[in-house]
Amino acid sequence: MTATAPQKKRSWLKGDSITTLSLLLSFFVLCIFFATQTEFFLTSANAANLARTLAVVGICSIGMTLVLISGGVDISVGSVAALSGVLASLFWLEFSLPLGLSTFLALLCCTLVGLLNGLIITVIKINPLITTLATFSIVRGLAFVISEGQTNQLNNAAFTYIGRGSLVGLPFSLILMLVLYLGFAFVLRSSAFGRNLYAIGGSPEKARLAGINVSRHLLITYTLCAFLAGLSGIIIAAQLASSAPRAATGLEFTVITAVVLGGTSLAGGKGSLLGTLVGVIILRVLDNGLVLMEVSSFYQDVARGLVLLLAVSFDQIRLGLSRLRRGST
Amino acid sequence: MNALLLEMRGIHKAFYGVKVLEDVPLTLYRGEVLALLGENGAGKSTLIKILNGDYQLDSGQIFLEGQAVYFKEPRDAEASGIKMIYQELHYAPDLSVAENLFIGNLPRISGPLGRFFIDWKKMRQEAKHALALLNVEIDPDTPMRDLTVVERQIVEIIKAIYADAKLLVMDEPTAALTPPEVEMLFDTVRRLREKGVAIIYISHRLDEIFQIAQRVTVLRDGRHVASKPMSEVSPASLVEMMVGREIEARQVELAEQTAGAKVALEVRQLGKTGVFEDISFKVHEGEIVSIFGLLGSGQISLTRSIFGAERSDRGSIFVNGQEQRIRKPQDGKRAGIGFVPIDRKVRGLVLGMSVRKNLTLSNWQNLSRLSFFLPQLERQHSQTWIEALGIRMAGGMDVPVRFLSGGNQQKVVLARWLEANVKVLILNEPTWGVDVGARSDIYDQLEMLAKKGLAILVVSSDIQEVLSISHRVLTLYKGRLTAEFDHSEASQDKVLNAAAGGAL
Amino acid sequence: MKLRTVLLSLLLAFAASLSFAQECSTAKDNYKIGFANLTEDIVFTQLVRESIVSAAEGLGNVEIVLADNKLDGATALSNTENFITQGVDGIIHFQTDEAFGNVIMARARNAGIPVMAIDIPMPGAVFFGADNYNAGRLAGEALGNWVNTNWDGAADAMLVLELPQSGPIPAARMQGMLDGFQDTVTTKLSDEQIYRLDSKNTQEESFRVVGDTLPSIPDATKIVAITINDGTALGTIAAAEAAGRKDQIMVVGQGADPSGQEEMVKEDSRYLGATGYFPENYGDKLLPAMIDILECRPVAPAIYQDHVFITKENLCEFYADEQAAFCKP
Repeated sequence: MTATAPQKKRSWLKGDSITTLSLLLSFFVLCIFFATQTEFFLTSANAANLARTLAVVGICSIGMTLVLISGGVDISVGSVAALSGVLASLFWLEFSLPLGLSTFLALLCCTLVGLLNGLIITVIKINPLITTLATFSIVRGLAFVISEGQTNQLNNAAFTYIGRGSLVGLPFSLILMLVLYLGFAFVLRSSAFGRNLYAIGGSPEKARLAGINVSRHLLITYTLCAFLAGLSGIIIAAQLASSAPRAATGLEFTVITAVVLGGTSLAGGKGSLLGTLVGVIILRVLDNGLVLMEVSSFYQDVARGLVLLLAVSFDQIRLGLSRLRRGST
Repeated sequence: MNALLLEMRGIHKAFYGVKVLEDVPLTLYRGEVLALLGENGAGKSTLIKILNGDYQLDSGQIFLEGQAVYFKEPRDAEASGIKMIYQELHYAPDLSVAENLFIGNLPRISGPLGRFFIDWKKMRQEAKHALALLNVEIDPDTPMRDLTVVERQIVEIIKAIYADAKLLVMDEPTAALTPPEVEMLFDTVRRLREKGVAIIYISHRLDEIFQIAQRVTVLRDGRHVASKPMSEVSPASLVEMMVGREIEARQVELAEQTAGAKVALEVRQLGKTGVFEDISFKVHEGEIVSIFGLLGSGQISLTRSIFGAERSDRGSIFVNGQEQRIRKPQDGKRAGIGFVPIDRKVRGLVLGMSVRKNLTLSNWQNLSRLSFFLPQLERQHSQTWIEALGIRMAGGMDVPVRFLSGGNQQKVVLARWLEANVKVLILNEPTWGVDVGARSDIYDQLEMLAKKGLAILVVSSDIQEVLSISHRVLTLYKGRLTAEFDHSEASQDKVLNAAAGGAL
Repeated sequence: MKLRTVLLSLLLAFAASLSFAQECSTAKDNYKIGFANLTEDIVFTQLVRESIVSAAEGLGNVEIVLADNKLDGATALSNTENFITQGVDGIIHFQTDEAFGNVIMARARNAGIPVMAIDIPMPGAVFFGADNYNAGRLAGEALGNWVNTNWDGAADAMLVLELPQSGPIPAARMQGMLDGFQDTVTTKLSDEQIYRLDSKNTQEESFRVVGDTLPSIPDATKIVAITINDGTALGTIAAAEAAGRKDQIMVVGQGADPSGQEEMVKEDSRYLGATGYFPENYGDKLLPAMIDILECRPVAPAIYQDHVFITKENLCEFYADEQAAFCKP
């Protein structure tokens, strides 16, 4: 009946194997290119620098991947990240709460923003782009109101450890990020929640008819996304030992770029965290390599956009080829 | 005959006071395929939507296995074993076949964490079992996006029967399928019957209905016309029941071809490697020429190449004696060729836009003076075409095209090309998915256009259509022209024989 | 020729004396002055607004009408029109878009209302604001002197944290800092030793680009950094700290706002200091000048702020209240 070759095992690369492989390939090509262009690219100091600075975009991208797979989008992540740093310093400096508690409360507030996003999207049924565009603006505004526009220093060794500390020779933030990736990859691949999310992204109506509680799944997704964005904000504040209402400006675009680069579809129902991780790394390596090559920052913006276009076109071409193949048989 | 499964009695339904269904009955037995026939607007889809709980009936009763049932929403109908197989299947492309079969009801592991985690092994086994029920050889781990259209449909069907569906409703399931795929689908449907599943099958294609259905129910204008075993009906009697009058085999009154008619389109030795080869023919002004071939003989690709939607590798195309370099659709359009593709969705109508806007889309040069667009001119032109082609719509030219019947949509497409002043019009399967009444209308239009001097090239896989509308018939077999018949000499046998490579 | 020039100047002098002799038509007992701020989002402009309001309270006969230009030329224009409708006697504009300057000035001229422009000049308006180049020089010279004293008059590399997308004003500050340093330091830096980085005006971005650049200067142990503002300076220092090279860097900046002050007073601080812009005394200089204009007294076409390079040593002279913990132990 069908020519599908029997496939025995469910390899964890399968599904997007071609996308992920092509991504890894472009990653290595990029690395080789930079290695030949600048002698400093393959130094341990640079590796350490890269490792230190992956977590902010990396962690935020986890949440964005979930949201995009569910067929939505969250523009408010950058604002939420700024709010979390600003709130942590408010609770600590103004209310004199312990720093640990302040951080926890800040994250809690961010999570509530996510819950609010989710409620507006599922109950009032406003399009996710519009909803989060509104919260993007509201939350950024609140960050300015709360901080009165001020940058506040957060000098506390335990706090800055989150952003700058090392554990068994690796940056703490990197370890935290990798643990989150493993955990959420497992959730996406093997939990009922994760699989349902793909079904919802593929067709919310069909998922609803199949008996999936779509609203609850979306609520959880947006809440998780905002929590992870808040965590990114805490890492920014910890790295800089200060909080600023202007922090994480444009983070949402960097994150969406990384996630889409990693093969997740803006139309929903398709994507993987492995792809996202590779996307995040490629984007970071690209920025790093161009700075090392002393390329003007304007050209860096151009390069970032070109890489995204290239990656997505590559995917389209691959899709077209596979259609052609199928059409001819 | 098997046991009675479903009985709908005296179904009435009205929308805003307009009666859509009046006293309609429907019976269905286990293990049978019931064809539901009727022109567009006869009430088929309303009846089905009442059956699956999408609409609520005004009066009447539904009995499922002898029990009176009432469905408030589709979910209720599904729970009772009534399942729609939609024309357009949505699916999550990244999920596997197995996951699609069980989505919403994924097998979980045992133990306290069972709520969260999936039992992959069990799911795979059950999926294999489900696929084996209908002897389908699809690997359950394949992602949905790697399946063909028919395979996705079959997965959908299996999903339905695995969820203990007793009754499937299939609405035009073959619209997007190739002949071998249709066979595959019918195999599956036959196995379903063996398992006692009942199927309501909606299609415009009478040949399919004779292949697959045991009984037929015909609706017309919201009323029940007849329910009969297929053995007691003929295509002609079915058509008569549907349209309420006798439609004899339609014979287009072809204008006499004058000997001196100018050649409007000439194709010389057109070739595309592996698809068609050495194609030469002429179409004169005022002439309708049909290309007939079994599906996959290259006729679609050929006409697309003439228009520029595809590229040919060799040969030349002349319009009004001028050689044309046609590489893309704009070239075809510029050369004065109009092209109506096969798929209604891509026939070039913007479904959400009004009839008026669709009529004049991309033709605004005609509607402007000194580059200024003139809305009143647009209205005038639209009105002219609506009258000339008899486009019927409720609510005037500002109604979105989506609300028009298939036949009227087809007319809008025709009008668009006429507005663009084409000299040659190519139509692919002009009456696919169009009901019998509107079909006759479209033939009238073609006749009228030919009389006005347009050269018309039709690709059709409907032998009756080809025989009745063409001045000449060309047959295509494996990408080569095998024969050419004048209207007077063309017969069903001869044409079919030539189209089958002369091997019959 | 010469005679004609003399005659012409005589004629002009006569006309001028005539107009002086006339009664000043704009002079009044009480004034209503419109102030449109650049934005209310940042500390600097908030301080400017506060200083103007408190200066007005001090004068007693001036009422201030407030508006926010929101970093947008079109908004500035509509604010101008609102001011005219509200019948103000003079307008103080702090607006970003030079292209709108002409239109704004034309409207005000037609209404017979004098305009003063803060920091961004407008044709025909009396300019008040920072002397960007010289403010930059103050910081550059201080850094040069520090290198002469502590690093034997020679640095290995210079990081320039600039803001290329924002045009001539930040560019003047950066050039001032660079020239001030090169003119002061014993051994001038060569072009190869100078790394121009785009700070994008945020802490994280400077953290990232400095983090990316440090691996390419592994052998430099005496690194100086000139930065466009306090936040950028903080990001630079945080990046050096994260790379374990905090003691190899010395940074100067512009602004000296609270977060920068806090950084300077730290023990072992690597923030040498920042040029003060004193937005908190803008009002004290602006309003008297505006009243001079209204009462037809001669006013210079451009009035510059007096800048001071703020360091740990002189901080308490200016900001004793703000840094009470440091200044009044």
